[in-house]
Amino acid sequence: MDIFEIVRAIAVIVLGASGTWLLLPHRHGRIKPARSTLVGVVLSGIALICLATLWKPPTTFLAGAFFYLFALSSLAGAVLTITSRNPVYSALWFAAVVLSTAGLFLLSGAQFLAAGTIIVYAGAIIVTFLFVIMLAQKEGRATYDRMARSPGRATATCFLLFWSLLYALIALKTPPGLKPDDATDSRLARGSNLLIAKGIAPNTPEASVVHRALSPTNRLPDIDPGTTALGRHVAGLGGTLYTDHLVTVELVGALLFAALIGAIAIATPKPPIRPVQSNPPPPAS
Amino acid sequence: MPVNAPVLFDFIHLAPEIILSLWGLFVVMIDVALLRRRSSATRGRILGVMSIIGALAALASIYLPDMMDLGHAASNVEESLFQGTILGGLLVERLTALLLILLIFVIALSTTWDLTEHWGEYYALLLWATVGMILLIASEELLTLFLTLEMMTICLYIVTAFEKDQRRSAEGGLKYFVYGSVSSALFLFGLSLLYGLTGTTRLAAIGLALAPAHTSIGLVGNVAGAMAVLLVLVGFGFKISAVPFHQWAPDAYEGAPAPVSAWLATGSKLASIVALMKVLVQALGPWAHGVNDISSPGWVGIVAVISALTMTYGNFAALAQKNLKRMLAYSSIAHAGYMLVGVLAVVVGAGKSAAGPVLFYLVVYSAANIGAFSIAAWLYRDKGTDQIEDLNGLGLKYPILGMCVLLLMLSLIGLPGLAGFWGKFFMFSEALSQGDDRHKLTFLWLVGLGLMNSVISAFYYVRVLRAMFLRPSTGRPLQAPTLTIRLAVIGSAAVALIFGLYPQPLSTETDAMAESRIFITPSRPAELLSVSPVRVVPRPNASDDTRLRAGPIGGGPSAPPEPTPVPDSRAK
Repeated sequence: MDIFEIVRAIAVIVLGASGTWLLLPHRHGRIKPARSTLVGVVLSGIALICLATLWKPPTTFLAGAFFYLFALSSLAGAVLTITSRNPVYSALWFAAVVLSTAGLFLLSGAQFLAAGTIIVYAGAIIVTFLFVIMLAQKEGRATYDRMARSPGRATATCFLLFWSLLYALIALKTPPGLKPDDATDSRLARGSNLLIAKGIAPNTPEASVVHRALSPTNRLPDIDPGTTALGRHVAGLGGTLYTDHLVTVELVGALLFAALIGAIAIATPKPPIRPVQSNPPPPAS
Repeated sequence: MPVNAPVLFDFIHLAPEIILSLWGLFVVMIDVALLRRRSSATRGRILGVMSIIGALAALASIYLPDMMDLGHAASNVEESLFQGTILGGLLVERLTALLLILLIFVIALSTTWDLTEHWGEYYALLLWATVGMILLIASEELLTLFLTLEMMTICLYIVTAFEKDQRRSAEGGLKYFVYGSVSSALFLFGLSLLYGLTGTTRLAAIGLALAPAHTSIGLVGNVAGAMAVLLVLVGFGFKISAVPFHQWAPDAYEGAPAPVSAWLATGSKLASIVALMKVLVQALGPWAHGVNDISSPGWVGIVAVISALTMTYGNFAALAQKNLKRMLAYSSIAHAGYMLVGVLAVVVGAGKSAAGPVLFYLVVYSAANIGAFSIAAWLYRDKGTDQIEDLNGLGLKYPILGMCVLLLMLSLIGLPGLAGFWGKFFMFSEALSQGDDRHKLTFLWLVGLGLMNSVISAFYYVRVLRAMFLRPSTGRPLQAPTLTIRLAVIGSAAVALIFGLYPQPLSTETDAMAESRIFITPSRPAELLSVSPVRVVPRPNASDDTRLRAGPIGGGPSAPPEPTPVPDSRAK
């Protein structure tokens, strides 16, 4: 990476952090002066412009269009999740974020991860959120909408994370002269290219470990032509799961079911009302 | 496309597990559908009888493969099922039968008093925990091992906390759950390290991958391996309640309803010890110790220290207990320590029959504990507590049961003429006869410590007998015991007495079980590695390095190996 990019990245972090801190509501719920809000908007705007200059657009048109569609909708969903006043809307916007992220996974060829994200987050976690919100919500607006608890520390944490992400992205950018999928690029090598990328000689102990650790399911047939996997992507995964690991899959199902039954039996606070207690049993006829 | 599809043969060998799982569902459905207008006590009794019928059906189905006389059954019976994830054979069959018999006693004990409203769920969870235990004994690879351990413990967490009007039940369940989840997480981390280091999840294949080229150097300089071994030992140490990881056991045993405590002390411990033995011997054997001394870096040293600590701490802590169940909990911790000595003997001796004494001990110990906890159930039903002083005068009022408890306690101490003596005798003499002079000293220390601990244990077991026979009866009088309590106590005392007088049949049987599978020497390394779903890439030339042997070329899921007949030592 060149020095200019680093300077821009640091500018994004510093300006964005101070702008966001100015924009956050005060910790005791007092109104902020309009001037500080204005300064915050200006600083964050400059940070966004700096960030945009770091952008490298993807090449192919259709994939690029979908990428921007999913990426922007996930960003918008994230902003709306935070800013919605109604927690139910927040949860629903979070679902939108998860769906867009799943779309991004699909674009990268990670079908199982996409399906897993939707099932786990959109299917299970958000439903739980909604239940909790509906059961626990009180009337009126919550206090956490009007004030920020320790905005300084929150801003610092978030932008530290953002900085590490940005640093990783800049550091991992393919250097000139290498194609993105080049086998000798050791920074993000695919499993099948691991030996070449890391420069491991073929008949060393390390090489045999790598060979044994690479199961057919984590090879992509269109990229690794020599594989004998059962099928592509999810099909191959399903094939392995339901043949080699059949007992394992069945066990997971049984385990979850047993835990569910147990949770129901344990969590009921009072003895269940049985017909014999609530109303007299019908006379034996 | 060739696919490793499981065949009917595999499923028939899983018949006990399948029957138990479905029967659990059936019991829950009967409870909520047909019996919903009955009172809690009635439902408990009806569903208990139904669950016992299910367990009996599962017991009968163990012999289904033999009865159906499948063509290749005779030659294939020692082979692995479901592409090597599950094991069939003598060891698993016999231990399944033992677990099911113990389960029947536990279910029968559960009907002693009205301990819960949710009878259907209670019995179903007991049945499903048993499924976990059976599959744990049978599991042959890390993933199945972890899932079956979880299946067993998650069901047990829940039934521990099942007596809802008792505060201590919820407390015990919560402690069990919190400790258990943390140790499961560490265990899983250890397993993932093991997978990362060897590239396979099959136990036997791990053993092959770790096998040294020339001489074993144990874990010298192997930080990742040592980490994996330690984490795996944390997981197992929790399940068998070995000392640094034992804190949950007294609270859980005391809080749980007495039948559940009995199941924790017998079934759960039995399955975990067998699984521990398999993992240590089959997979981690090459890391046992260095070439010179068994106290050189390797897990033998760690297990020896754990064993010494466990038996000493368990016995000394049991001396201070006033609650019967809590005392039995500490005593079961101490017994885990004795059994670890036997496990060490299996590994160091590398002899096939060395595991027999451990299995013998497990059988005797489980039977004695069922009897002891049924006394606790009886106390709790009539007095609402289970202190040792509540036993006062019991032996004089019920002489037959008193004599049975006398036999049980003496057997747990290990007095000659009773089964507990032979258990300790076989195990300790096996330990002393293992290895050469380099190993003798360590085992001499451990066995000496074990004998000293047996003497200490006499003090607290005799306190039970003193209360029963020498103290006048106090407090509310005990009602006559139910038939189930009588059966459990008399049955376990009979086991202690009969196998104390004639240990030969049982020890022959356990030796045969041990020889059948506990210590396998994989004679076909190539096939073992290719069974795992790992594609092995052809290498340019054969390596001179045999420390990490790769499997055959072009194995993997497309080429399931033909099951080869193993020289069959069992005759039916």
